[in-house]
Amino acid sequence: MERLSNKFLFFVLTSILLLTFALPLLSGAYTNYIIIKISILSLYAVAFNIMFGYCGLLSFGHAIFFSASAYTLGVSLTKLNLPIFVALLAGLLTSVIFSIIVGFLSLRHKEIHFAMITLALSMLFWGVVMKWRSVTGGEDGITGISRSISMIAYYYICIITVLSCLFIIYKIIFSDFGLLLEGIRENEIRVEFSAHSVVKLRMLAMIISGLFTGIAGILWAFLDGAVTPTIAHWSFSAVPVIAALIGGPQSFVGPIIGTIVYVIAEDFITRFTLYWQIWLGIVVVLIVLFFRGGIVGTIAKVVSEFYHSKLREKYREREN
Amino acid sequence: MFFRVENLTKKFGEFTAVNNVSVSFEKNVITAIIGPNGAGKTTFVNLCSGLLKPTNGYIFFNGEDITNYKIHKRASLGIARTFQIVNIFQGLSVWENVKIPLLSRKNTRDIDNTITKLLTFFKLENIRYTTSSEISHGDQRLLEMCMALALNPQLLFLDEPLAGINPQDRGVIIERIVEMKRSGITVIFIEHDIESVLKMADEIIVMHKGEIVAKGPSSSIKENDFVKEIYLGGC
Ligand SMILES: Nc1ncnc2c1ncn2[C@@H]1O[C@H](COP(=O)(O)OP(=O)(O)O)[C@@H](O)[C@H]1O
Ligand SMILES: [Mg+2]
Repeated sequence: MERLSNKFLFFVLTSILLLTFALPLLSGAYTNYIIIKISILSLYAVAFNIMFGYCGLLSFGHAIFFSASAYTLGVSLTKLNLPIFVALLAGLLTSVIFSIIVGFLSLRHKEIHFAMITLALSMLFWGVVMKWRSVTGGEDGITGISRSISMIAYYYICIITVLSCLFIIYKIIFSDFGLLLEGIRENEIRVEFSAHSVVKLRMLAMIISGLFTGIAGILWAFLDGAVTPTIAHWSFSAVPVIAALIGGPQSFVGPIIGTIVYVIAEDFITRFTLYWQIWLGIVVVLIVLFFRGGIVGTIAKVVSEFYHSKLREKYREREN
Repeated sequence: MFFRVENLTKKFGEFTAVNNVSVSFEKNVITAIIGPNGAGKTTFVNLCSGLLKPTNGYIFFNGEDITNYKIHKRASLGIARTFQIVNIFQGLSVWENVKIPLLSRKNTRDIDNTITKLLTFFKLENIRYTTSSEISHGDQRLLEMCMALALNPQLLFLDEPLAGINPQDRGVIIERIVEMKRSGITVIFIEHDIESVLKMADEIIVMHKGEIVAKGPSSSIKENDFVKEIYLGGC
């Protein structure tokens, strides 16, 4: 399946690349906005999926890393008037620090315990963001974050940043380190008996995951020029979970496809009803119940079954 | 002393699986641990390799107290093991299975060559790209040993390496074990089949009800009355 999704990824990336680079010239501001949203949330979902798909750990705490960098950037620019450079670095550093803290508290646990601890930390973080008004702006968040570049320039910066990040994550996942993560998912004890510290490897994965989530958070802060507490709410931690489930957590492109479906569905359904989450919930339940591998997993299965039946036919022909 | 345990005890609730065992192992000697089912052999190996924490007692490796070391720390010191029930990365290829332990060795410069050499040693090179769940049980046993050997261990525990292997296929595995010992690895293995034990072991330890009831060179252990009675039965 991996080999299949590699080709698939190449195809998807090239098409996305061509399309997205041409789009701002062809379409309106709204489409551009949706595309930026998709690309940022794709990075968020893929970064999240390093933990979910490759470490087998379901984190409900990624909104922490996403909003940590966004808030730090906002505060640095609007309240401390730091140069953008410093603000960017400070944002990323905060995400990394939070991923170390969350990792330290959660990585000794697995499965439901890991999910619950990250969820609890996510709620705690939300509480702090809401109460610490002097810094975070409470319910109002932080406004007036200036991009100081045109929307088109921001558009291209966003796309290029996201694509480079996806490329780097892809390289990491198919590196030796990625193999070790796969080993952990397969057989944790065997990895320990292979002289690797599982906790250390997971921590490294968490930091990488948190860092790229932080990059997504920074891009997000510039999208509306504001940081609102929506992204600090624990339910925002569920966004990449849903995207990964829809698209398929076992493949690299799955969460990207899932994000595209998620954002477009949100945009489409909210035109007709405010309760779009009900419909989203139904879709997710159906996918989890009937299409375990998500969209990509299901396609891969169908293709490989088709391929195998072709092979079988060939064998039969040869035998006759 | 190369490897030594002192007053090693493991209790599961009220039940004592390993009872106050003190024993030492010389470098470059193959020792077999025999004894009836439930004697505590596997538990003993689990304690030595770090899978279980002892209720009491100490474990020393090259003079270092490793009683509280984690599994990966012991493995990087050079203690490797296999399991009674094959324990490999079922979903990964044979090649990847060997690569994972090798990645822990920082001084492995030419990793691909080393993997090829290891696989050739175990006659697995022809199936290197096969998913390991799809290879034969005997090959899985060999692969697990190959993974242990990839750590470049000083001490190797094998828990029933011949379990579930046809008598006609045992030769290959026995041969590899003896070969590993020749290359300077200290091997401690658990085995039921007494014929195979005598082919491999220099020393034999007999366990019964969590205790070591006899220890000696394999030539003399057959004469031990206790062994005759509880283990060798009719022999
Ligand atoms: N994790 C465990 N929890 C409870 N009892 C155990 C556990 N592991 C082993 N035992 C018990 O300890 C005894 C020794 O087991 P084991 O070491 O596997 O024996 P052997 O390998 O010699 O056949 C058995 O009676 C077994 O039931
Ligand atoms: Mg046993």
